[in-house]
Amino acid sequence: MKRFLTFEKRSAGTSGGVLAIRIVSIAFAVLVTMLLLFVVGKSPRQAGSILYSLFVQPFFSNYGVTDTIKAGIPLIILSIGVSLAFKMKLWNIGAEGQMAAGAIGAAGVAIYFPNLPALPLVLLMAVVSIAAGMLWGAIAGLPKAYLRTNETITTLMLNYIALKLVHALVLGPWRDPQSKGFPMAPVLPAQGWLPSWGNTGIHLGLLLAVILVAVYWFVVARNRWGYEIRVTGESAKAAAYAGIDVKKNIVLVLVVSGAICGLAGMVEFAGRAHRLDVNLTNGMGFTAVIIAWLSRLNPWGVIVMSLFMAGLNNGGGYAQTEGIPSAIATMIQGILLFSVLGFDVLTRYKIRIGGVLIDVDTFRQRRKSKALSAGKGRE
Amino acid sequence: MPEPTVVLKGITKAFPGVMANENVDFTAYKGEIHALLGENGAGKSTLMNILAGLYRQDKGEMIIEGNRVEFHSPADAIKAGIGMIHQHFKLVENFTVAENVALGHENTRFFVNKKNIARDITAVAEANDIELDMSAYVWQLSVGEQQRVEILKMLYRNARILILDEPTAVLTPQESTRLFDTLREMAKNGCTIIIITHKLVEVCDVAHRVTVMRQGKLSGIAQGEEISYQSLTGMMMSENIRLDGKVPAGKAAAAVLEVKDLFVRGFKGVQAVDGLSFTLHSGEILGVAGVAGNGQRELAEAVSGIRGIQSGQVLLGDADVTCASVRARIDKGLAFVPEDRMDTGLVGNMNLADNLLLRSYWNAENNTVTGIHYARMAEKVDQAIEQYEIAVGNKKAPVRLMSGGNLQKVVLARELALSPSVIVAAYPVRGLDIGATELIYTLLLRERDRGAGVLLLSEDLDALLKYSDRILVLYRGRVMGIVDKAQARIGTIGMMMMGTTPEEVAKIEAVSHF
Repeated sequence: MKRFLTFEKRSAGTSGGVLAIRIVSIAFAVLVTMLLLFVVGKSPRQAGSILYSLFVQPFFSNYGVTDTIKAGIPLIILSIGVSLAFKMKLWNIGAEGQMAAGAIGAAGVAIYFPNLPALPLVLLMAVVSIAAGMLWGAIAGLPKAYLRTNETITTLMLNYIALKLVHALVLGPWRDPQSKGFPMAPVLPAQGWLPSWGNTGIHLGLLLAVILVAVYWFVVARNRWGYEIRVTGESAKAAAYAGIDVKKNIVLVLVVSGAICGLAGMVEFAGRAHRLDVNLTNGMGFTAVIIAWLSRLNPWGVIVMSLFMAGLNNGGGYAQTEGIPSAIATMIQGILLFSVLGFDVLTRYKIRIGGVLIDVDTFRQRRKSKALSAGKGRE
Repeated sequence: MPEPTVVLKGITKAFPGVMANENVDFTAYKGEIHALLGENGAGKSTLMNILAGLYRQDKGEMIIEGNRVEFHSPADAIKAGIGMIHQHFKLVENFTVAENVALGHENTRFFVNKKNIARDITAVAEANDIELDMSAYVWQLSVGEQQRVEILKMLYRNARILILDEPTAVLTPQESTRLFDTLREMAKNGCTIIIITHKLVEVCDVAHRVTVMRQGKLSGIAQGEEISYQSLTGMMMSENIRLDGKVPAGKAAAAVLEVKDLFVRGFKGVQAVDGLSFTLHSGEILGVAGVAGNGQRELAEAVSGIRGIQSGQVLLGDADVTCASVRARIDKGLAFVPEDRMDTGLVGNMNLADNLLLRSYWNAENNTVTGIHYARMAEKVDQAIEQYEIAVGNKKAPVRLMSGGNLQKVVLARELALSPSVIVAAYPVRGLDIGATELIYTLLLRERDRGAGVLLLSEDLDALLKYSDRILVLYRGRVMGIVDKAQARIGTIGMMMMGTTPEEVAKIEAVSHF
């Protein structure tokens, strides 16, 4: 009657072991990655330098860290936007499209009003990108609230509409005449570039991202509207009982979520890319969904996970210079994510394989008692 | 002495912060109906969930029919001949009775021989005197019939030990009687029947033996002649709370709630409330009696503004609130204790402060310029804990970790804080132990004496007769009659609940000298 593999729900939920689990999961991914590298015929030495450029360079070298922060800025903003919707259990996976819409808005301002002075130009780009993101959010939100459409599908589909719109614009009316046929819009006039810090390329968007994180925390944890979002996310019945206007909030939350993601499009456009092309969003909207999930909608977790994902992505790029194909780099990122998510089970369950119990708390207690007895021995 | 079929020795099970079972011994014999009695949170359900393989004990051993067993899942328990019927049935509504019984059975393979299965099931049903239409769909069945499907399901799996968790909670008195007849028959056939309950009346009525638990520990065993109201109450409760005693009548004054010609649609568009009118006065408790599913839920939700209505009128005092929002009604003094404590009345994953805010988070006093005034809420939490004697480990912990009685205290603490003029209380003591039940009724009586009007929905006729000043009997969304406390008798109300008009009841009673 005894089963080989059993899962027991952890009664207390997660404890302080989360960090330990994360570290173990990354170590496990490194191990599997090494195996993969040997399979594709890399020597241990080559494998070592590939692992270095994948996991160490983005987080510990000067150049890597600046790069990671730059790539992390739009991810933080997008993840905050996504988290807000997720908090109400509205599955907005349309951050990619909302970001693209925002970038289109900002690029449009740059194209039609190229002679505006710096501040008005930047402000106008921000306003238009926010409006575009709001529009994209509203297109999903209104039918969700009033016709009960499935927002997962609509936000997903709206991604493709926005991305194809970018295609159409950069191939057609907005194509830069000096681009020699490449599908890209003209470069943003220099006064519209977000000011950056020294020659690092880290721009004002970082400040904006951090402010957004703080505002998100405050709204969700302390504010009356955030309270409504939390109650509705936990239980629709309780929300009705509390007299919360759920429909209004569905629209509002998706619109605000879209606005934040739209703003991310402008930040990326004016801060880093400086021109609209088909690669501007680069799947970041989807990465943001993963980040929101991994950080459990915790604002500070969003910062950490955004930088982690940004670094991981950059590491894939560095590794290619070490002579592995981009497909392998992507695979390795996949292994890491898979491992992190897979080990996540341990935060919620105790696992028993054969006679062996795998449980974070048991390990920690054992270590504590070992440390204790070791201490006694020394006395 | 017949042979013991279930022997539990020294069962211990801890949940975070609670010792649910501490060194509990339990023995049940072949052919007996064994009641497991105790207040809520006494650990009865935990003990039986361990026996049914849903939980694993931390310590202790289980011996079933002479063999030492260890369960890793409910499937193991079923193999050992143990079947548990939970309070909430686990049936597929769109399947027939036969399909539900066959579902998940180990003989039900990829290809289903419906004819053979139906024949086998019918045989089992007949052997145990269970009357059911095998080809009826579960959604067509009454709650009592659905329960019979659950019992049949377990018998078909060769269960010789049957555990029923609060089996009469959802039944009418007539259905309960019928259930007990079935259980007696099954016991006679050699089954061991264990009923988890806190209803003393039932225990005295059907149980051969009683095991009483208190605060996770075994508190006493009684059998045969020893089973009496007094002895069991003593074992159940730490301090003796009086069960009988008259409640002084309220002094009804001005109308505080008027419902006129109310029509409300329920689940799947059913006409749940079908032209209902009544008046509730200040200083009275108006009890609402009725078999579950006769429009009580829809009535309560429509009055409190959660459910939209088709037509009719609702007046709160002088104000017409027919079209008013939930919030407007709360601000006009309407409190609502919903039927569904955990998912509607409270948000399980939120802490006490957030739950106390639920129906007044928009009030100026709970807000500062920027956000919710959590410092003030912390004070209110302390006040509520003290005033309502809410047992709570960590004030910041999600409320889902609290026991049923404490949860209901939180709901009442919140709803009564605004001194409401009307209180709609839907099954406020469902699933609560005697101590908590008494407290909830005391609070409602106090509110009544303060001048509030209370609309009390309940399935417990004894309690309705005791606490209500008038009783409204609901049948198919209509008022069958409103009876004054002085004239109310349980038999009369029971007949009205089944659809007999008061005039017909009077005739029957005149003939039968009932």
